[in-house]
Amino acid sequence: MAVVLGMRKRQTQTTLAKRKQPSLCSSEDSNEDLQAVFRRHFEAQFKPLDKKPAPKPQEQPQISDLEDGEEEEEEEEEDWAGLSPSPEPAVEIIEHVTTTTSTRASKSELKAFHSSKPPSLLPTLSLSTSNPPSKADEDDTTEAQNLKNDLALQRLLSESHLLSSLSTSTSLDLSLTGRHRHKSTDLRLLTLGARSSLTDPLAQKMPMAMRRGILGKQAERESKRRKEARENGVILERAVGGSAKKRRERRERGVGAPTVGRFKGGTLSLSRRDVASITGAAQGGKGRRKGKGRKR
Amino acid sequence: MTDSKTAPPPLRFTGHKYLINRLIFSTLTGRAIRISGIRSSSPTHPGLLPHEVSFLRLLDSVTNGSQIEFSYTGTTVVYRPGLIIGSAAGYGAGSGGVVKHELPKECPRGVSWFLIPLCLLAPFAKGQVNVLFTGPGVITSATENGDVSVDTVLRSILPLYSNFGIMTDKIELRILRRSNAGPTGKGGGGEVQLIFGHQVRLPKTIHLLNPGRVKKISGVAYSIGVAGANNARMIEAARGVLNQFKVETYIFSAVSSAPLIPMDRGGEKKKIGIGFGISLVAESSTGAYFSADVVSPPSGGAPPEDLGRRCAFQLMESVSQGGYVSTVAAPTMLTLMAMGSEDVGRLQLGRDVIGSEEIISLARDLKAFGASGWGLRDADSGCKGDIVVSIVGKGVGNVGRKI
Repeated sequence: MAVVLGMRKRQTQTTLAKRKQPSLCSSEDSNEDLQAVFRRHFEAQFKPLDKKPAPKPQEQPQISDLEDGEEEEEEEEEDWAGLSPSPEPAVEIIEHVTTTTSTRASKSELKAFHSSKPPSLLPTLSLSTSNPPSKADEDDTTEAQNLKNDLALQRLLSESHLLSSLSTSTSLDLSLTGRHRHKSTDLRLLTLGARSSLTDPLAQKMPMAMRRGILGKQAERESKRRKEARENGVILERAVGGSAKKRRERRERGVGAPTVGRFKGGTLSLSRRDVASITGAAQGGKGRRKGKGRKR
Repeated sequence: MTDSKTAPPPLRFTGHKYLINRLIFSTLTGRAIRISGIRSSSPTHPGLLPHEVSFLRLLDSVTNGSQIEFSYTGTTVVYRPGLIIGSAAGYGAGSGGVVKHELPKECPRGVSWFLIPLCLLAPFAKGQVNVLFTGPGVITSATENGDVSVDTVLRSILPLYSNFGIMTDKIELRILRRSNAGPTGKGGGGEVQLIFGHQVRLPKTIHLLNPGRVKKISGVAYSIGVAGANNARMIEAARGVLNQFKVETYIFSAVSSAPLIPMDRGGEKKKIGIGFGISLVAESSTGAYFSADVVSPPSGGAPPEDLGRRCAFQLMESVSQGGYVSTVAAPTMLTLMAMGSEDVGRLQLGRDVIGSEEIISLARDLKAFGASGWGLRDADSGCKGDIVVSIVGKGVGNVGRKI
């Protein structure tokens, strides 16, 4: 009579299925009849299964069956009823088993689900094409990646002056919108060799009087800014543009005249500086050339 | 042309059953019908119900020149069909070419009850069919009285159109808002748009004799206005049953909040259509589709595990019935075959599918409209007991596209 405790087999799905009320099935057949139908169909096509079919609920396991100690699978309908012949109310065992881990659907499946078009048989043929795109997700350092990053960096640097004007906005992304996007496109086109800028108003055609007015106003504003800064002691950046223009306006010396020295009375007189420039003597620092190298 | 003296007299039918089938056949063949004795013995609701009237309105907006006459008591309807126009601008559609159809709030049928017949008419329209179902009566989920959900229509009925040469790339069925049935089983706040962009002159003749083996099971579990955990429970219960078949199974989960519909008085809105449900579709290697749909009752009380298991068993039952199409899609396939070219098309159906009252009355009605009889013989392959139906098409096809 010693019952081997703890050796009760777990209730499996089929025995649990019998516990559920038959009214849950959609058809009039009960669950075990459905299982029996499928089993028969299966066995008709293939070899009969090794396992015995699950017994009907009315059968009670005999105590003599347990004597050999090993219990047959799916043989036990309910808990061992004990020695008393009157069956106690069956204890319902509820199993919480996670049968499978939920597999995430592939990207194409998700796309097919979210698109409102009916599915067609064609997508199942393209199984092989789904593998390569997964490689692109990795952050590997291929040449293409480097080039892409370089390009992005160059663009960022050249458009940084536009971004700085956007710094008032709270967004963190670096995408330009609106006027700044047009400006950045224009900048890229100019570097690629466009003739004139599309966004810069001074590059467009306009009446001479208007252009002169704009430029004059710009010059006036700049000079005012420098004057005020000098008066208030504010140090500004070095002025650009004035010396570059002056440098170009060198005096024309005549057609056949020599570039260094004075030619008078058949004699070419070279000063010390001329000789130094011919021999290419060691140049002084930038500060020494204050006079912009004007010939003496 | 509809009022010419040589127009044949309207065909006579009785009863409210299979009303939709008869209206569709009438529209497709161009013959007028007269249906009398519609719920004439009912003391409370004689005549057509509001959703049936709404379907007649939908027919009116999609066709041009159709006339509908009701008798004084409302128990008799005479329908003289016009040409199926679709959603051409100016006829019934707005400027965008969308026909906006509002369903009444007492509608107890799901919107698939409107969608399936409309999809039957759409390939024979003159132009594109673009209909938006809105209003306080749109139920996108399955219903307790046997309607399937919109997901089932999209995934198991619309793909079958590709067999007839109708490109499913041009068909779109957008579920803009989901809704279950209201608390009494009537009404819902969903929104669905059907865009049927491919019109054909004649559907191709089909020979679909091999159901094949089930190779994929996909499904949608939806929770509207309730916790999304219900979806996970339903999916797990369904998977627990279906895993034994070792077929790849993908069940998607859709969670949305409860839709609002305007109340009768004032501008207030109320929530309606709360519940959850699951729809499963099995696809076979030869392109056959079987479906199952289970939804929570409006009064509640059903745990999602029960629903998931029930749906899985329903799917297994649908597959076990055999044949190339299930009971849901069989009327669509048979009607399209009957409207095809004058050639013999064959379709394999399960014995229980073809032996149902609906299919037999469909065959009888088609015969009344002048289509030829069907040939039935036992199938060689597939499930034991399958029957191959041979149908000769009428050859009328799309009148609007006739040159």
